[in-house]
Amino acid sequence: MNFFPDPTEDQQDKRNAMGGKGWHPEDVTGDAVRKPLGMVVAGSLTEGMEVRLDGATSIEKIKVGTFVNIQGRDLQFFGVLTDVSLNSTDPSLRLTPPDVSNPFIFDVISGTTAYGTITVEPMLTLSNDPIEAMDGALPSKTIPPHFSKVATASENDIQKIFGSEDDSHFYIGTPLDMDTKLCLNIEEFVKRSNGVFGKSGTGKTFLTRLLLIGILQNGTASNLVFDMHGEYGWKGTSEGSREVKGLKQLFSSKVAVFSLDDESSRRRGLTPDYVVRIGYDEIEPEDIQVLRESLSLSDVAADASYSLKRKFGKGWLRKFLAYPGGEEFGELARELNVNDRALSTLKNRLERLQRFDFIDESGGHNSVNQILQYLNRGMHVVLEFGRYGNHLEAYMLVANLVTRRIYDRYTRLKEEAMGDPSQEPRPLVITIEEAHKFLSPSLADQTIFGNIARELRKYNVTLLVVDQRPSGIDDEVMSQLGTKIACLLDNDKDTDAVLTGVSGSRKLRSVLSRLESKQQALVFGHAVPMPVVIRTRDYGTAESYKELGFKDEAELAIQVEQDIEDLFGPGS
Amino acid sequence: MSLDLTSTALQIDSMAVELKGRNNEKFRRLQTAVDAIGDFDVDAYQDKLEQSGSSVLWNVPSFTGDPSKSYPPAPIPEDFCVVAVDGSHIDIDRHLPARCYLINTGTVYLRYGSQSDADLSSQPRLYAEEDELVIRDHNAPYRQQNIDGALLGAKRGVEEIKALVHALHNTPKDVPTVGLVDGTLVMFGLQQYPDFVVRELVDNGFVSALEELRQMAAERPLAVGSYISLPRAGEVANALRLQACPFDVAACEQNCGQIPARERACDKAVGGLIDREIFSDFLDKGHRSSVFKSNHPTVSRNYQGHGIHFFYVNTGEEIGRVEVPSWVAENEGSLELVHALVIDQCRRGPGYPVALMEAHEQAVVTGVDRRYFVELVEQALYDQRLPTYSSEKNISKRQKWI
Amino acid sequence: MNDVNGNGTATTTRLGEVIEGSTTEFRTHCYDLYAAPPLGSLVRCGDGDSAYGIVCDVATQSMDPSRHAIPRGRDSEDEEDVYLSNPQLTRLLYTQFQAVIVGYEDGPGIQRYLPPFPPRIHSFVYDCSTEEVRTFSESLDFLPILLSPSINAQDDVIASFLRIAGACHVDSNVFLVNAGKTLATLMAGQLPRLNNVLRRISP
Ligand SMILES: Nc1ncnc2c1ncn2[C@@H]1O[C@H](COP(=O)(O)OP(=O)(O)OP(=O)(O)O)[C@@H](O)[C@H]1O
Ligand SMILES: [Mg+2]
Repeated sequence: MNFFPDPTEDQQDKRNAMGGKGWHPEDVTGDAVRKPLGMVVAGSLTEGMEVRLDGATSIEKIKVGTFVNIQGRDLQFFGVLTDVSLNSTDPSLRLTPPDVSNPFIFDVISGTTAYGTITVEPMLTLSNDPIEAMDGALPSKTIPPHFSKVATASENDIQKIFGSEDDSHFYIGTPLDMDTKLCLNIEEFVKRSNGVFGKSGTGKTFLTRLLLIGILQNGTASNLVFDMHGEYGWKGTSEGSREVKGLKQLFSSKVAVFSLDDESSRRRGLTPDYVVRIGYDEIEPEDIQVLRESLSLSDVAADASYSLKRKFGKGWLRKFLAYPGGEEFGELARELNVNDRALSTLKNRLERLQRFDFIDESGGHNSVNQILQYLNRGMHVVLEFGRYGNHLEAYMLVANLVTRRIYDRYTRLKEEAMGDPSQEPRPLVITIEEAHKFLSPSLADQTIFGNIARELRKYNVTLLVVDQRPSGIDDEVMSQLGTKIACLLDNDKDTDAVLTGVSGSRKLRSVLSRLESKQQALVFGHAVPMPVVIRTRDYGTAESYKELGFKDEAELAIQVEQDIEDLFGPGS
Repeated sequence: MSLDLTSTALQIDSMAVELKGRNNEKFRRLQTAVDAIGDFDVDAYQDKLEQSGSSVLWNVPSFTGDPSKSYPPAPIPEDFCVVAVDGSHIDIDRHLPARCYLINTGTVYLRYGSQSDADLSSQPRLYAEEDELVIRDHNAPYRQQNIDGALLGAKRGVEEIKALVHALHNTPKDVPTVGLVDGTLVMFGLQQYPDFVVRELVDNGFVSALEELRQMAAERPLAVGSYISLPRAGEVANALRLQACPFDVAACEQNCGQIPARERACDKAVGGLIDREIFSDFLDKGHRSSVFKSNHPTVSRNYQGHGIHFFYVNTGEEIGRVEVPSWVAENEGSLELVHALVIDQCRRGPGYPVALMEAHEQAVVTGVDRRYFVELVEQALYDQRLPTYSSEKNISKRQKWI
Repeated sequence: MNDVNGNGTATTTRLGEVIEGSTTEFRTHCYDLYAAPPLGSLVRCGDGDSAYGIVCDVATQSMDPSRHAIPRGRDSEDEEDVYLSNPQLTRLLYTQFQAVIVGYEDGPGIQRYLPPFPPRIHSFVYDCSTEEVRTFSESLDFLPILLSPSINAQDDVIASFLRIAGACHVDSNVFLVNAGKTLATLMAGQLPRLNNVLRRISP
């Protein structure tokens, strides 16, 4: 039933000319074969294509999110399977169901009288004309005609659309039910801020680790990771408290681990490259602003920090905390024109910071400069929080403070470069967990992270936000994220937040809400040509490390010998 | 206008009344006849028959035993065959543009027992050549007789018995077999024809076939006979007339020539009776009567020593008449075989020998067949560009006008 | 003596001759009484340019339409005995069957639709060997013919045919499921009927 001229005839000719073996239609997609699903029977651009499943296709094997190819007459369409439904040719089926207890009758009826349909959202088109196809895949502006054959995409299709693994294409996972490597265009990725979302335990951290490695290996950008729970730099944990390697373990020469908690780092077998200290004088009112929520400060109290800064100048926090109580304190409140109670609350709360050993009285700490220096050297920096990771206010304070300082430096460097790209600072990707704490609607326009997310792309700094509650993130920030990688989400609000502004979001919703609870994600945005569901690449096995380019010591030793031999000849 | 049923019905009524009266009278005579058979003096009869010679006008048989006796059938053999023939014909039709007639003989072979088998066939034969349409006197070739009407019936009888001969040649030689034809073995009705006709049909035809059968029967367990259903024959009744005849010598013409029918002594005793009416009183189911020998002049004159004997059987449904050649009648085994198998055939029939019935079915030419035959002839002539005139009357018979 | 389709033999048996034929069906007079192939069997008529038919009606009747059979077994011990003691029966009765034409040999290939000409009268009719049945039923394009309303008891004919053909295929289950699916499409909107047929062909 081939209505249409076969678009792959050219290919066939080539094969034959090359003296290839007999040609079979399945061959055209490469080694991996497209598995037929059915044919287009109805549809529209807005509602997606209705595809009647072949009798042979078991509806139970169908999964939403599957990457699908539709063979049109002139165009090949690529899309995502977004819905599955049951239909029948006979309305009496409901009233007098056939003898389905008989397995034979069941086999016969299913796929014929009772059949399945799937809905496919066409996303991309690729011309069947080899010349036109060189332009690559384009967003779908039309739909395939009736009776077009629908099949799961093949390995070749995946590569054609997502590119094959190379310096700029990082293998991030596999499409559903396939072993094909699906790649992320990492250069596109780092140009914008991005997000990794998913409820707790869905694999955000594992995914992020992979993304960081992708960035690292690609080399166009540096990473700065605020590693709240000590999962990125040195020894993360996997479920069942199995240890997995951190970046430093895999790429020790390219990664520096900074620690706020030397003691805990050492306990975990790591000698940090640098132990970070923060002086009181480095803390700015903006940093306090960020802590408003975690310190339960009223707006008035938080804003008072600006007045304090104005009054006390550089050592405002130290001076304020040392400020005597009683009558004098009331005096100060009046002078600053803030409520007496509010000011004392502020003092009380800020006193909590004194518990953090990494903050000290001395000024002139060099931590941020150190970070910048490492980054300038092309290193990737992971800042471990150690035991302070459990204190949100410590995490936020430090992240905000460090980022703010880096922001200042980058804007300056960028301006100094005056458009000379070689002088520009190396692009930087800043990874933060619990991002919604920094980017909530009430904070987003005040904090440095809000700034970066909204505009700092032009200063070569972007964010990689990792969050389990995307609905808590300011809409505008969300819409600025270039690529979103969404694992399974807890509730509708979060799902909506992730999908706002995406075409076909209604249909993607059903895909997103049916992801598996672990190691699966919907990827969409700038770094991929079309939304796609992946099973995240395995991380944590010896094999996975090897694939990521890691050599263990024994291997390294052999490598060294080999290098020596190469240099000096055998037996030396 | 078709038949006036009202006035016909009235006449039928009066006929029935009259029949009833006649029946009472007849019943009385039947009683007389039965009584007479009961104490029939065979020797006296034979004596009187011999003395009277040809002066007896009635066709009377010879007796071979006590006519009041009845014989049960012998057990049937385990394996046996019955071969039967029957025929029918399409007579010469002067409305037809061609002179021709057709004889269709049906032959049935039935084998019973361990190797039960059957073969049913029919053999139509069209006679259209000059030679076949007439019988010629070989001594005086200008003398010839057209074969049609009664003569065609006789011709058919000859073809039937020839078919029987032919069929018996092809049946197993070691199995007891009875060959059956339908109707009488006596070719009567030919007296008025010239000798060369009788010679051709009887001597050279029927009797030579009988002779062939006799020779076959000498070499294998074979008997032949004919079966007549609802026989109208009154030969035994005629014998009772002879007995009832008050004269010493039954010279009918001489003695009673002046007496009107029904008034003669013999009429009063047993007039109007036929044999089967008499034997229905004597024969138990399956039994046969004793055997009588036909004294029909054609047999005595032309059958060249083949006598024709007959007996009556109670088939359960009717009293039938079986005729056999003398060489069957005189061989007890053959006679018993014919008797037993005829009864058996009638049982399977039921009421009429199966083989004969099927032979009839094979032979029968239906009205449809006849019409089709005519069309075929016309078509054949037309194809040969011969005139196919058929008389107006014929056309009107085939087409119904309003 | 007649080699029933699907019992695994490779030989064909001559069953009888065509006595009536059109481009849609033909009637075969069997050589032997009761020697018709089972309902639904695939038969072939003619040598070269053969037509294929599926037996859709089998009847045993009197040769002479004006005569009908009467009971004969009152005194017989068994039915066999009736025939033994009435040997003429085997000649007075005959068995005939009607076959719907579902395809024909077209040179080396097989067409699964009606032939251009009806079979000739007196063409020999053979039952098909396992191999022939398998080859013919490799495509079921002819099934719509069997659904035509002119056939009596179409559903039984179809079910019988599929059962016979199924037995000729190596994986009869796969064959039957595919056949069932074809039927399901052809019988769309007639679920109870479909269900009935399926029940009958269900292994
Ligand atoms: N790519 C992967 N390879 C191997 N295991 C994985 C992968 N992704 C997820 N897992 C498994 O799922 C578990 C949870 O993953 P992960 O810690 O990344 O979740 P999370 O979303 O960061 O959770 P939380 O919000 O609690 O931090 C891991 O411990 C690991 O066992
Ligand atoms: Mg995590």
